[in-house]
Amino acid sequence: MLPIEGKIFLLLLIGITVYFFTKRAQYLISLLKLGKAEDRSDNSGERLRFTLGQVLTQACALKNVTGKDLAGIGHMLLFYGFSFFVVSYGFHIAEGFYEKLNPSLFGEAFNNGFFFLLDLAGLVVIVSVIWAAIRRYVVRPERLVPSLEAGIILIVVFCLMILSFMTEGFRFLAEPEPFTSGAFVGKFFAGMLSGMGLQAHVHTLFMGTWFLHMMIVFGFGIYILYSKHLHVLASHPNLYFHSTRPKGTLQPIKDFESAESFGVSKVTDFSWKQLLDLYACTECGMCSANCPANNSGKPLKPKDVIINLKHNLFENGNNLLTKKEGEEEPLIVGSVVTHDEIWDCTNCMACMEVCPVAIEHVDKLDDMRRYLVLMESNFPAEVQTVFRNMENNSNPWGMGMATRADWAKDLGVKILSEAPGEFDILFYVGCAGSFDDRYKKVSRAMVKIMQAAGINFAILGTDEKCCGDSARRIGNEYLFQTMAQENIEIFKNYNVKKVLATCPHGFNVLKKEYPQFGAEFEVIHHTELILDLIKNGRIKLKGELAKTITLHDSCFLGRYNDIYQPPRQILNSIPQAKLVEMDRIQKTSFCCGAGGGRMWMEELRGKKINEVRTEEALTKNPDLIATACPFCLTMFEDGLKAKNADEKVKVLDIAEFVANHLL
Amino acid sequence: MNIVVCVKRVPDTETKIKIGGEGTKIDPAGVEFIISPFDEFAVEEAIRIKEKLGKGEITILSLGPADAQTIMRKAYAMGADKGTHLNDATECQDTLAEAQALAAALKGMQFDLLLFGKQAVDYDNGAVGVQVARLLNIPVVSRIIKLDVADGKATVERESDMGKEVVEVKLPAAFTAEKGLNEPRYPKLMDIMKAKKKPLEEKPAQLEAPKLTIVKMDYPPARPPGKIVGQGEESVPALVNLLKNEAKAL
Repeated sequence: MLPIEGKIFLLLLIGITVYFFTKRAQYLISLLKLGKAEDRSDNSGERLRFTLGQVLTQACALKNVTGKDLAGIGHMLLFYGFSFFVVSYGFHIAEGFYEKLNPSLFGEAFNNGFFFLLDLAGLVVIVSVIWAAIRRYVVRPERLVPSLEAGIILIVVFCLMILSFMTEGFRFLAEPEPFTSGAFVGKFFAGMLSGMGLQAHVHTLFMGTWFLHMMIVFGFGIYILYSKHLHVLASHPNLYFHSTRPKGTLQPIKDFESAESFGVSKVTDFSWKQLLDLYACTECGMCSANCPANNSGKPLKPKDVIINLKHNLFENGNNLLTKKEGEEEPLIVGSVVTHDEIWDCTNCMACMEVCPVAIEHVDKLDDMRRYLVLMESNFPAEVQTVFRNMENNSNPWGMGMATRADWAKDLGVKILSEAPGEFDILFYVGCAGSFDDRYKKVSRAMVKIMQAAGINFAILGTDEKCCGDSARRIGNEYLFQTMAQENIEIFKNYNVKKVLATCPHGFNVLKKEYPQFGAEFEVIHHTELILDLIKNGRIKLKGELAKTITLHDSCFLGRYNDIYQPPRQILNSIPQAKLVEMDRIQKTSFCCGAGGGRMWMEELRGKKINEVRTEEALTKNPDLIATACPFCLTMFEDGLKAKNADEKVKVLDIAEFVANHLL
Repeated sequence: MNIVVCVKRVPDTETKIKIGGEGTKIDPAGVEFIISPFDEFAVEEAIRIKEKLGKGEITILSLGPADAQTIMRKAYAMGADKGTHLNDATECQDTLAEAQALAAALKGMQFDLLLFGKQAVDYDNGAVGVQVARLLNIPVVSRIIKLDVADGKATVERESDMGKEVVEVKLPAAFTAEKGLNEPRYPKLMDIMKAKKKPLEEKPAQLEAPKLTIVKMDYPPARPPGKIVGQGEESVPALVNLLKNEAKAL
């Protein structure tokens, strides 16, 4: 198809593109190599399945589609449409060198079908691009920040499509035999162009538009690596290298004795995967849109953390690569990511749940907390008391540890520290269940339920220690590991096989993070146990509860452990109880504000998260709010008091609902 | 500037005290021992002075049973450099005997500042610091809330019911720390790790026969349970009557 000069020019274009593409790609990879080692080579089959599943079905984008936000559908259309074009560029280039290498190689029907679909894809892409432009520049949803880059990309893609149709149009006019009958838009363009008196130049124009088209394609290929559209290439490896650890678990610090630093203070303290996250970011803003800190007017916006880290990495990239041994590297903690941002995070994991490209925001913030706590001893002042309390009395409140089992007096509970014995389930009461007056009632409710069901359970009594979740989430990994090891030892000594926890924080850390230190026992949450008891008929519920109830999903139960249905099914099994769902539930439930150790910190910035969530609950006019977490319970009770609704609306734990209606 | 800080191992303030040892001692089972909080102020102040001056050495001195070394390591993690443990398995309760043992150990040490907490929160005698200073024949200012050191002198503040006193004292001198002197730090992990390797000398405490011994310990009497007298106006006279005659509060 191309004359020899054209082939040489095409070759030159390819050469230039490959050169710049490779150069930039190598640079990007060399920056990744500045990161710390991290093994993500496990489960390659599962990783590949996950990646293809997310990309090919577009689950990555479609998972966030709601009635109010259809952008994921737009992404899907653009993705499928543009992918088709990428295939067509392969044919274009091949055909440029040898004219028989075109879709007709696979027969006439394929050829026609291919160009029909290509033109259709072109139309789809044009529609999606216009849609995307309207969203960015007219509708302007909060999560999207209009950027020059986005504008350039939309215009380039739009132009590419038009050029593609024009090229087809000129080709129809230039070649005696139509190359296909499928290119219906191309034909339409041919009709339009033929009326413009360009007949004498059609061949030149065809070649011209063809080359212009290809030059833009190649240019775009290079530009991708320099723009936020880096995600087009980086999101695939990022999905592939997603965390296969149990969901939401933090990685342990392995060597306290010989390590020279802990946590992350400089960009190269991150692992290569944490840096790849920065490349993969699409700047879609879903993380910030779902972040409780951002939604309550706090400085933390997870998207900004990622983007600022990325920009910082690119700004300092050359310096970092040429840095000599012993030269100081700039700190990112306190500058690129501020202390306020680091401490605002509730570890609720909403950002990670909605992220289409598997970015790990929470790990990064918690790594920076580790630096601040372990290296700098720099944290909100009130946290020091919490650490001391955990060290001295093994609970954040600092209540005397000898009183840990006092709540269970006169309940006929087996207390192992007083009299060891046989048991099937160890009820790990946790600090809230042992010391918080309100949550002690939930411990008692749980005892009542288990006694009614005839379960042979025991508590550790004064041998029970704090689980350490708050210490870990605040960044005091040393204190956490000390506590975890102590607990695991105690559990082993009592030969514990199965543990019941009411607090989702204890539940999560015992179940999913203790195995990092050799724990081998089964852990269940009380909502799981209660639902089983109801299903098996071991407890029966009586009486009616003609009330409207709204349910709050605890982050560490829901997003961290995917336990969404048991609390709902339990409430629905109480006669007449009417469950009214809040607007943000389950995967996109809105945090109460107490996770990530925020329970123990003053909330000085923005609105109070618990009040935001309480207001949301109150719009459903509930009589009762159901929770399954001591922190959520406290946050709602405080929220209701702040809203002067504590007389009208009460908060109950799922266990209390059940204990109140036992037959 | 050489600073010596005397610290004592005491039960955590939230401990539910159980009497053991034939009714004369605290039963240590299940008790978490900590640095007495006032001693911690003293340790913190020593570290701040060293940091401010950029030089100096902080020595920890502790008299107590073997596990006093645990809390000495905590002081090391905060920033103290070395220390001596005067081992006393008898858990002496005579402040003068303790002060004599501490003074005997201090006589071999060079120091400019000698810091104590104003009292240990176990028996709350508040005597040892002042007694040691007397035995060493150096000036002492008790219950200080501010300490500035310059030119061989210390300027300190202490609060009393009458107001604030500012005292100037020549070094070497002893001081006992009051709450408000500072906010003790939470040690950095690197310092906790380093603390494990800092030198700790152990020697027996030279205790004379105590002149004071505890004969018997007892729990405070259990508080009588609260009473609900009644509801509404009609119960007021009954309440007044009880407050007057039973509680003798009116």
